[in-house]
Amino acid sequence: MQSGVEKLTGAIVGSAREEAERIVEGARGEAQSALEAARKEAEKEYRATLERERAGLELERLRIVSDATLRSQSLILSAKEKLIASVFEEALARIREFTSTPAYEDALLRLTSEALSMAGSGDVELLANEVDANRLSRLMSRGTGKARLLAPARLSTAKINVIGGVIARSSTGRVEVDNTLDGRFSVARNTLRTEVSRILFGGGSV
Amino acid sequence: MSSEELRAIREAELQAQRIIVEAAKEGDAVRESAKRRAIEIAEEWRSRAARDVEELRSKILDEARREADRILADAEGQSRRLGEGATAGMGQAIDRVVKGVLGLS
Repeated sequence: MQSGVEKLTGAIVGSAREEAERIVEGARGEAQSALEAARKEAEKEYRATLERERAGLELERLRIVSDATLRSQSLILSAKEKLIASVFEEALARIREFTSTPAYEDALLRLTSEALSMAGSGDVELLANEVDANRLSRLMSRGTGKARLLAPARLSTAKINVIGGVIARSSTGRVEVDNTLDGRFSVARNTLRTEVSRILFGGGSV
Repeated sequence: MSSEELRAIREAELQAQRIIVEAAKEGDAVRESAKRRAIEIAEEWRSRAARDVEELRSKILDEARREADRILADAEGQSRRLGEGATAGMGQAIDRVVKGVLGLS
């Protein structure tokens, strides 16, 4: 049988143990909640970091792909430009060759007549390179056939450095018609570019 | 009450105090341990984020570079084919320019 004092001391210690257990359990509960909150916060930060980085990387991906697309377009454009340029280079070489053939005389006559008709009536002088000036002089002195069309003009003593063709200039100098092959070639580079592109590559022009 | 009984009660009270003090210490230790663990957890997730971002970077950028290489290879092929395809029209185009310049068109 326990005495009254034993019961009392037992109750004091027992109550302390119960209180101690509550204290420790309370601390464990707090710790558990703190860990759970830390885990949630860390996971939230992880997801935010991944989303942010993913968005940045997506932009980088788009930049790489659009850069490649631009470079590829430029590559194709440059290939087309080269082919078009080679057409004009080859054409110019053929035109040069043509000026040394007998058939060129007809072309020169036509170019000169055109220039004269554009320059209008009156005193018009013709400027040409040395070889074409000699040709024109010969044609004008002959004065027959189509050469009669050159009659109103006179040949300038000044010579111009061109592949062929003429410049017709009124005596006042106010009207000047450039019908040289060089001038016409320059114009053709712009006006025929789309047509040349269509012939070479089909529908789409450069 | 005898002095022996009073001493026994006093000792029980002291023991109760010790038990409470020990429990408070244990509680503090549990909280401290949880704080350290929370810091470790944050570090673990940060490391995981760094590793996963690196993987994502490799995956997305490698794919982008492969796509860029494919686009450029396609363009190179297309440029070559342009040259081959244009050969047929070359003569016609040159002719067109020559005639245009000479006024034969």
